[in-house]
Amino acid sequence: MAPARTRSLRSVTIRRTLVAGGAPVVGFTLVAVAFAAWHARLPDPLATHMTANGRPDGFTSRGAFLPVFAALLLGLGSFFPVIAWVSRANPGGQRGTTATGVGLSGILTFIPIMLLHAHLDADDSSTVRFGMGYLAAGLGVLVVAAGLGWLLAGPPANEVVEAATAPHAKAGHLEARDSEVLVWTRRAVSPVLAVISVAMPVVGVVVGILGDWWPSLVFLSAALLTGAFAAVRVTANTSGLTVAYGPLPRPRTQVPLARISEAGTRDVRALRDFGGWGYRMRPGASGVILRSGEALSLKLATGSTFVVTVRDARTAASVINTLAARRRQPDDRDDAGPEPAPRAAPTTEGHGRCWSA
Amino acid sequence: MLVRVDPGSPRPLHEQIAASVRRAVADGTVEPGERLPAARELAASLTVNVHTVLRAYQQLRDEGLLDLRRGRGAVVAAGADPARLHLAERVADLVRQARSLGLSDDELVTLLRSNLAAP
Repeated sequence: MAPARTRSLRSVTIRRTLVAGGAPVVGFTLVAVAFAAWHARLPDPLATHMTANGRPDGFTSRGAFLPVFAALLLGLGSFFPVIAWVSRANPGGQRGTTATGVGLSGILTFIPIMLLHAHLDADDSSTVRFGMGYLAAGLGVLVVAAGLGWLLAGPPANEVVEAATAPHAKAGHLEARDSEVLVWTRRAVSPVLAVISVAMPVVGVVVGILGDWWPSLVFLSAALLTGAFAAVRVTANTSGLTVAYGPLPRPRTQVPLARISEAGTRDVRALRDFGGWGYRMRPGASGVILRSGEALSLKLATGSTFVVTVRDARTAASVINTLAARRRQPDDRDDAGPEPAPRAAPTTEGHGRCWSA
Repeated sequence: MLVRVDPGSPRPLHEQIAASVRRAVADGTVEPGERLPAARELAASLTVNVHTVLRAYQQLRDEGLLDLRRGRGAVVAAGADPARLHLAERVADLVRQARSLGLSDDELVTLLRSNLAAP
């Protein structure tokens, strides 16, 4: 049933893993070159931590500067390629992961180089000024580098692994005429993430008032990210399954109908099965996990599964199975074939089969 | 919310969409206060004109089922009563069934009256 992973899917994964792993190496090389070139013009120690008004309040010896940034950048260098490799069954998430890795490498390259530059020919590092403008510029670099990473990661494998046969008759279908257009859509909310996304800006402001505004920026951006996952819209239609994060049509994750072998339902324990909430990736399974409980589970042609915790998942599964069955050869498994259709079934019929990832 | 639209049916498309929304509110898959998909997105999903979806939404607003607000889209009205809607849907089904059996309106009303009169 599940064909072997095609060569092009593998080559895309290798490319993205190399891009995600290469960016921090290139970044660190640039930092090291800048450090070596300016070495004679740098004071010792170097100011490496600033207050909100750009005055230094933390110092690192010149000798420790490179090792610290090596740890930061090369730490990333080992983290993102692993994620890119692990997420090879989910090419959409993989491209975003690669772009994120390159973006973070960008800001972690830009900030130390600008920091070194600010020190040039300074006799005493306590006179060095490094204002918030650098951080703003760094965020710009992050965005540009992430965009570059997105391009370098390349488009998804064009040779998609498509399901050959229709979902099994017992997978749960909808009684519908072939001319009927079916769309299922539902909002799904994560109580945990909603609380976190509200709490984090508060923590960020408190941290900002008591200490430093840099970490509070991290809290605010993390709040935006969790906020996007706190409420999603799940849609099943002829395009397949779409999960739109936040109130707008994008960003979104899309699983094309042709790649879905069969849809079903399953019960998810967020922590036990996926180790938390949000967009989760596990070997053989990935998904948008907003809470524990009822979930839509898509068996993909690649052999992995995609899970979305959403209520009324059985109806969603029936819609996907019904739409998929229209375009494909029937499943030839022994007990396949049209089910006797009970009359006047307004929504679903059949039994949504369950499986675990 | 399951939206079913059959372009081959004699029933107007906007009515089919409105009926789907009504049924979704009636069976509780969409709750009062919940936002419906943007008309443009739903129209793209259904491959119908955006005005068809807007017409359905406007009809439902006139019935008091939806609040349409600029910028916020279509929100299920707080006062929407799923139980009453469920009943209304079943009455609509009843009428459809009676028509398909060839019953005249008077015959259907007579049938209803006799049931209402029964203890």
